[in-house]
Amino acid sequence: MVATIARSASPANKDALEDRLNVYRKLKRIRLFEERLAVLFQEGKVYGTAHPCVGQEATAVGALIDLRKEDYVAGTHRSHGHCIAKGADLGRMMMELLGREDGYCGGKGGSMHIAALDLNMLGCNGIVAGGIPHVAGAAMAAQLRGEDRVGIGFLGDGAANQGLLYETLNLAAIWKIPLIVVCENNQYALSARYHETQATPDIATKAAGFGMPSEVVDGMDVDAVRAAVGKAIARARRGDGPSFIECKTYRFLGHSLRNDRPKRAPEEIASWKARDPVAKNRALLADDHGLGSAAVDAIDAEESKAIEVAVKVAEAAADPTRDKLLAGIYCDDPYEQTPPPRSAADEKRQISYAQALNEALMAEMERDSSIIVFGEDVGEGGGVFGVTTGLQAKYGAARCRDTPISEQAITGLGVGLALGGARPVVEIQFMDIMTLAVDQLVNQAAKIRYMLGGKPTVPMVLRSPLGAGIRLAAQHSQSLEAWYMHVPGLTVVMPSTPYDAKGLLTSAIRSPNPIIFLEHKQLYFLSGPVPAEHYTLPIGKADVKREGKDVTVVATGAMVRKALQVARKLGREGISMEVVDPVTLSPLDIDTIIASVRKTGRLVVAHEACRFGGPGGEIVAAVVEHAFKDLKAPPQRVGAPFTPVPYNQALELAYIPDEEQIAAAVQATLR
Amino acid sequence: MPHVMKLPPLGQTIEEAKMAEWLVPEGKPVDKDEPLLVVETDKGNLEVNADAGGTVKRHLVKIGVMVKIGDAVAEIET
Ligand SMILES: Cc1ncc(C[n+]2csc(CCOP(=O)(O)OP(=O)(O)O)c2C)c(N)n1
Ligand SMILES: [Mg+2]
Repeated sequence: MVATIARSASPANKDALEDRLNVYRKLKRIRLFEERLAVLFQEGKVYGTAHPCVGQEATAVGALIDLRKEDYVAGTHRSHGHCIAKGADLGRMMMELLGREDGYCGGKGGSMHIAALDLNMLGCNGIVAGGIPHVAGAAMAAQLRGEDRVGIGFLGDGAANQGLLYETLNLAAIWKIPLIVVCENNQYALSARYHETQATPDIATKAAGFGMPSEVVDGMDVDAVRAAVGKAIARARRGDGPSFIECKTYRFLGHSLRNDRPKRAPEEIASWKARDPVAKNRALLADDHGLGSAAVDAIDAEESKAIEVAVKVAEAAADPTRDKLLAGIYCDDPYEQTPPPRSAADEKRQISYAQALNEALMAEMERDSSIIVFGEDVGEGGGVFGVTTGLQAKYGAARCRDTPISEQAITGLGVGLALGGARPVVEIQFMDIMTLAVDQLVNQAAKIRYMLGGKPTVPMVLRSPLGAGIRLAAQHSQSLEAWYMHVPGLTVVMPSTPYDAKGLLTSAIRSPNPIIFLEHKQLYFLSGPVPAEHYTLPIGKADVKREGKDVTVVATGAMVRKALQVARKLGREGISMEVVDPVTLSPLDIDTIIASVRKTGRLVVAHEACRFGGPGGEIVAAVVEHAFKDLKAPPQRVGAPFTPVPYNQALELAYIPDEEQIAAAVQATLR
Repeated sequence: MPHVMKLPPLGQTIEEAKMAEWLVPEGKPVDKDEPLLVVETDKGNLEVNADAGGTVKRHLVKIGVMVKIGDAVAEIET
């Protein structure tokens, strides 16, 4: 029936009608999907929570209808509409909401993490504003390849109070990232009213302050949203940089399907409902385009049927089997291995740890043009410890970039670049400062692969110096590696020699997983044998630095050299110490450690992190579990006392575990 | 014949360095790869490891003297 009418119209009218039909179908599809979801929730078939976008359909459709498939989108916690507008399959969405194996995320994500990676919908995000740097990074990766893709990131008015948004807007503006941020100001952030959380009448005025076009549009008007976003898309594609669009809109339902706070005045709800985008576009079709109400009813029935089919498919689909619990955390895809030409023992050339890292970066950037290095002062300055010296001169300012002091955004941008196919190597100036980027590391980088069903990879390296010893006091000296060991999805590498540093950084860059690469400050200017050639070393494999038969000392980072010195000293007294460096703290090569303890019967663990809650507890516990009967003495732990790092030299030296403490711990196991 | 240790290559841009500190005194034992001496370079202080194990027989350079890559620095009785 629709086609008959279209044929009888003039070509221009026909185009307009088809366009309106397309718009209406999408609006209606979203509306029906959300209404059906509410029923499924009530029936107990969808669990947890879900945030319906009923009332807000025009922002999703208006913003995404003219986007190309290859363009990127990042959603929010209220993103079913964004997925549908990007063209997501209703069946796979429903399956995900029901937690099914064939859902978009294998049942691992649910409502707040639906992603359609085949459509470059990078995922909804349970951390408000969390996805904005991802879509910026993915679009930037494409831009670096010379493509004209853009990224659209959605967020709410509540999310617009997150610092991450502003850090990312600033980065996008200075780097002209093809990013469009669409802010859906639906007047509420859970129970908070807009005017209670922001002093400016418009959010858009803030974005304008970062030096980008920023405008307010009627978010109930799909055509207004479309026009504004269209302008922003064109600008981004031209390479002129980001834009911000604030859509004033309203959610007709509660915050979530389980939460309807705050109480809203019925008149307020009615005044917004009077501007319902679905009803308005229905009227446009039926009346202005002369389709008539029966024809639109027929369309509604088709859309309704499509959703019922999706529900049926989802209800009949299988849940993931229990063995899927541990699937899709890490990516096991092989990457190119380059075996070292010589062992450290056979190498004559000695260079510093910092230079060894620099050689790895230099050679990898030459080998792979998708590698981009960025961080504070890494460009011309070469980084605080000189690790990135010369990279900018050799590879240009596009591939070795200084960033603003915005740890959250640069880490999030790294995640996005990785999702978009680049290979980011991010430097965070001090490990203490990584605390500012913890959400992006722990909730985003570490989990994206798993919660999106084991599909995306996040090949990002985040390098950072740690440790005390150069009198930088409490906020520039910590060893917080145990925090990240506790996060599934992250790989934590901590090399102790220049030889290992070069080979492992090369591997870390080639690895498909997000890797935290920790460099002890005290090691940067110590030298050791390093082949001039390029090589990889295995991640996740411990290294026996010295063989012995009486005691196993597991030492990490700067403690390895100290343990070796102790081994030499005690060796002259007839005590044979084996020194094992885990090298990778997570995943931990506990097998090598256990094998060593089985041989020696004694265990000492030495690390610079605080003893309490430090990596040593995990290592000792694992050894006790697996090799209790082989132990001839209680294991000993050497670590820093439970205190912030002090400035005064004597106090700082008292803080850092030393050779005497290691020797005493070894002696204690021999008593 | 004692082994003569020479200052090893210390990376592309370093041609010479200033002798700063002996970490193992004459007459004391040293292991291969044990830190033996510290030199000052324009890239900061670098610890250099012994390239053979034995007893440090003689320090061949004085503190404060410039040493070129390849110059003999110590005799080690292996
Ligand atoms: C960083 C963060 N803090 C708190 C929450 C809990 N939370 C989920 S949604 C929400 C309100 C978000 O409001 P807004 O950004 O306006 O989006 P809306 O729900 O209105 O679509 C809050 C506080 C969260 N998900 N993320
Ligand atoms: Mg809101």
